Order: sequence, then C-alpha cells, then structure tokens
Amino acid sequence: MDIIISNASGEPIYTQIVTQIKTLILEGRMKEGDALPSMRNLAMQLRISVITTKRAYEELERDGFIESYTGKGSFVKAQNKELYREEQLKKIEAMLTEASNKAKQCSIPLSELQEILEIVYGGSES
Amino acid sequence: MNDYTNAIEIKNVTKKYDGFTLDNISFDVPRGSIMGFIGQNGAGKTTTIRSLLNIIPINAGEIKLLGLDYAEQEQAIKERIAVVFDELPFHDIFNAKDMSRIFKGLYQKWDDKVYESYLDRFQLPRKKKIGQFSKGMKMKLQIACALSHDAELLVMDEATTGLDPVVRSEILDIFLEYLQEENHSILMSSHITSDLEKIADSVTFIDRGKILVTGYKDEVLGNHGVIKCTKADYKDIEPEDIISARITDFGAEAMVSDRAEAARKYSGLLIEPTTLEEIMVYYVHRVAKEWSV
Amino acid sequence: MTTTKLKALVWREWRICQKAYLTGLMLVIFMVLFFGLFRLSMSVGNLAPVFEGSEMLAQFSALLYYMSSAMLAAITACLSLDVTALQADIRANWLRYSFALPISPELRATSIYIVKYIKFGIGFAIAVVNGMVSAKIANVAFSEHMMWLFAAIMALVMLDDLLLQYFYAKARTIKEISAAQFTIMGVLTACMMGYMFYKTINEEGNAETTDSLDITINSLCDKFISHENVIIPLTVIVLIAAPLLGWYITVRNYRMYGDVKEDTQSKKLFSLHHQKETKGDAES
Repeated sequence: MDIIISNASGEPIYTQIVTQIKTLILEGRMKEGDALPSMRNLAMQLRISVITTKRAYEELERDGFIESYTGKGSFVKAQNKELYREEQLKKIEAMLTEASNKAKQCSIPLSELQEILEIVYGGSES
Repeated sequence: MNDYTNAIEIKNVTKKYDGFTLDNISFDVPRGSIMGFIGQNGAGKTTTIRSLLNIIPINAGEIKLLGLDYAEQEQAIKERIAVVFDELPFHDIFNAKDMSRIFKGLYQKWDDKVYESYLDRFQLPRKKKIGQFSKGMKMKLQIACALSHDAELLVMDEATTGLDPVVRSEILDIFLEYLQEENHSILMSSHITSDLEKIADSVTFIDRGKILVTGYKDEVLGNHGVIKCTKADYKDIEPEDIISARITDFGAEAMVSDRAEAARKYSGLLIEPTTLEEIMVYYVHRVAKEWSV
Repeated sequence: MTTTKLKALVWREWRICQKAYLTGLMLVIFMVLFFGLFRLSMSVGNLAPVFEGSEMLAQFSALLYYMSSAMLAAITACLSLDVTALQADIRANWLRYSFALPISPELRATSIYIVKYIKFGIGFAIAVVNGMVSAKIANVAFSEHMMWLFAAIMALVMLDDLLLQYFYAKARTIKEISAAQFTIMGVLTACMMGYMFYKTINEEGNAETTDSLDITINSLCDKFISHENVIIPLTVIVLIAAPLLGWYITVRNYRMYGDVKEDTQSKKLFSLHHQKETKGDAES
C-alpha cells in the first residue's frame, strides 16, 4: 500500500490520505475485507500526528469506504461500483467538454478530435 | 492500574517567584498522545515541569498525573513515569551496565532484557565510562533508561537541544514507536519547533508564565495564518484581528489567529499558512504589536 | 522494596567516592606501615644502635603511639567527609534528576549517611588497629582512653559535617562549598589546639619545665583523661545526635532545593556545566 504525502501541495494532509486510500479501494488495489494499517502505525511511518490519521479514517468511515472496530482495526468495506462508475463518467464528461471547447476555439474539427481520442485511448490500452 | 483520560491534567496552577510568575496555567495531555510544550527559554516550561514533579511547591491549582494527585501519590506516580533532561544525570565514572544495576533496585518494573535490547539497538558500549560518550550517545542512553521500566508517561525537558539533526531524527522515530502503545503519552518541552511540527498531536505555547495557545496541533496550525500585504493595506487591518505584525521596508506580515475569518474580512489580501515557529515568534511580540527587522 | 532502593542508592553513593576514598585509604595504610616499620627499626632494626637505651626511644615511641593514631583517626574521618560528593552531584545533574525517581528525600539522605558512617567506621577501625600495633611495639598497654580519643576526634569531624550540611542549603557553587569546608575545619581545629595549648601552658606553668617531649605528651594525655567525664558523654551525644541532625538537615535541603528559580541556579552553576562540556565530547 503506497501513500505519498506532500507537505508543499497546500492540501491538508488528512485529505491527501483520504483521497489516496479511496483511489486504492475504488481501483480495486484494496479489496473488501482488507485490513488497513493501524492509525498509530500509519502516523509513525509517515511521521505525522495520530490526530491526522484518525481524522482521515473517520472521514473514510463516514463516506462508507471503511469500517472500524475498536480493538481490531479498520477494514475495507464492499464498494458500490455503479456509483463510482457514474461519478467517473461525470468527471470524464466534464473533461471532454473542456477539450471540445478548446477545440472549437482553435477551429479544430470534430473528426480531428475523434482521431486524437482514438490514438490516446488505443495507445494506453495494455 | 487505574483508568484515566488524561496523562497530565494541569488546572489553574500558579507559582510565584521573585520576578517571575507562572500565572494560572491550565492544559491537558490526553492519554496516548504527544504534547509539544513550546516556549522561549525562561518562559516557564521548566518551572511547569518542576511543578509536575513536585520539585517545587505550587501556590495554587491542581495537578494530576496518570489520573492520580501529583503530591499525594507522588511515589506511585514516579514508578510509572520517566523523565529525560537535557543532560545525562549520572557521574562520568559509571558505565551502561552500572545504570542497569542502579535502576533495577529503584524501579519495580525494570526490565533488563528491554534495556539490553535498546543498548544493542543504539550501539552503546556496555563497559565504557559514560564520561567518554558523545552527546548523542548520552541522550540515547538516557532514553534507553527511560524506556526500560514500562513507563506510561515520558516527560522530556529540552531533551533534543544540542543534538545534531541526524540523532534528533533517530530519537523522534523512537518516540513514535513508543507511542504505538495506546496508553503511552509524551510531554515534550522544546524550543526546537521543527521536531514537534510533524509529530505532535497537541501543542501548548507558554510565554512569560502564561499559556497563550493550547489545542490540537493541526487545528492550531489551521487556525493561524500570516497576512502578507503592503504597508498601505496593513493600515486597514484592525489591531484586534492580529496577534502582531512584522514591518519591513517592503511591506507587512501580520499573524492572525482566525484564518477563515480574516480571509473573509480581508478578502483581497494574501494569507499564508504558518509554522509553529512563526506562531511562537509572533506571539512573543504580541505586546509590542509591531516589530521590525 | 525500600531496602532494594536503599541498596541501589548506597551502591551508587559508594561507587562515586570509591576511587578517591580508597586512594586516601591507601595513603593512610602506607603511613601506618611506615610508622610501624620505623618504630620497629628503632628497637630491633637498623636504627637500633642509634637509639639503644636512650631517652629518645621512649619519647619517640610515645609520640608515634599517640600522635600517629590520633592523626590517623582525624585523617580517615576527614576522608569520610567527601566535600566533592555534592559538587559531583550538582555537576552531574543528579540532584535535579533524583526528583523524578520514585525515591523520597528521606531515602536519599539515609543512603548518604549510611555511606558516610561506613567510612567513619573504617577510619575508626584503622586508628584502633594502628594504636594497638604501636602500643605493642612500644611495649605500652593500649588503653581504652585511646579509643575514646579516637571517638572524640570522630565526633569533632561529624560536627564539622553537620555544620557543612547546614551550609549547603545556602551554597550553590563549588567555591562556596570549599570555602565553607576550610573555614569550619580551620575554626574547629584552631579552637581545639588553642584550648589545649592554653590549658597546658597556664595550669602547669611552674611545674617541671623540662624539654622532655615525653612529659608534655603525658600531661596532654592526663589533661584528656582528667576531662574524660565531660568528654566522653559529649562524644557519645555528638555521635548519636550529629548523624540524626545531619540527616534531618539533608532532607530539608532536598525539599528546599527546587525552590530557587531556574535561572538563578543555572547562572551560578553555569561555569560547572561549561567545564563539563569542554571535557567529555569525545566521539565513541
């Protein structure tokens, strides 16, 4: 499990942890029932305060990503894939909207845009 | 073993000296956390710690350690705590093995195996006289002694002062490891704020015998900020909104204690996040209000 | 549990003064041997022909017998005082640290006094042994008056120690402590010698004024013996009361220790820390 904290990004540390763990879970790299490191262990390894890791775990639990049991620890909860897919689709739509707006600004035709999409999509398929 | 919420509870403690007063101070160190006790030299950190240890009598107030009264249960408390000072409190002629012999008799819960494992880990020689140890080795020896009798509370009084960054980093990791146990707590007094910047759970600022700020470190850092603006803009800022301001030839930098509010009120101005060190410096100048290079 | 704590503290106290004390003891034992051998050689050894049948022999013997023993008793008692203990404790920050340990001031004081009195006991034993040996060599009976003389000297030194404990409360620097030590010792010795001198000169000003060393010594001894009914009870009282009082004062000093604002203390002791830092910073 990789977690990378940036002190310079301006984003609160607990938010970074929440985002990264959410991503790990949604991308399937952490499965339902997997144990998360203890709050204290995470704090020690990352050299941050336990209060921070606690806050991150509390938010993850609030958002339904993990379940915490006193004495045992925290575990990944089963995820609603449909919901995630829809969220991602919304994001993609927004990105594509931006791309097409830019294209229109420079008078780039739709066909060219589609070509680029094909190359990019096809190229990263592995 | 008794149950307690706070490893240390200090309520309305006052101690008067000629020319210095610890003035009605209060703060708590929750169980299982590390509290950074920050202040300048002479601000009252050591006086506070001496009060905790009942080295000096206090004029007023209540102190509880591990849920027990600090004076009535003094001996029982001291079996369960460890104190680390800035200097190794043993004569030069002793060696690490002698320490074990002395402490075994003094502490009921002294565990030689644990002590030996720390000596191995810190690579400290057993038979060498401690007078010949380097500063870093002396501190590590102190820590080995402190961690070998199952202490629930570690009190550090300027323990990392004078150590090089590499040793300080090693020691920090040891404390973090110590905190893995949920009933272990640390009170760490220091004016080297960078040590506490990362790992402290809560911080307490003391200046001239008064507690200025106390609370969770993330919150304290989140609530404070520095407005950086032109001198002209600075004139528009109300004095009650800032702690103090540093005026330079090229502008002004003012510390606020409610960043969200300041962002709202002075929406055009740049407000930057801050560090514990900056907070300390700006608070120290709070009476003068304005200061320059 | 208190006994284990006490043992640990006593061991610690002993180890700190061990080197200095044993070195001093070596010197004392060397002196004992020296005196003994010298006296032996006067009667049966190389120097015998010189001294044979002379008055000097008897006088010298007496001198050696009384003076050396008394001197030894005084020296070993002083060795027990160990002024450097407090200095070493301050320098090592032990005093401050001991408050963080589960040991009461009473326990700390007890451990200090146990070690002190072990040393006094050793000193007393050496003085007695030397006395007995010198007596044998000089063919004199070892009188119990000698034992009381030793005890009286010990008592004087204990008084000195008691005064020192009282002074320690005020003193914070090594210079002050040393000054106190010398002053008290000096005053006590001067008083004692002055009194003895005064007495001997005044009272028997008209008696047989021979230059005989022997007679002067004997008269001093007689003086001592005649005053014994005062000296012995006084000695006993001091031997019992001094340690108790000293213990009490030590405990009180501990309780008063912390009540000096940190800065004042460190300013005065700062020079000590400086000395320490320039010495012990060698890499491992």
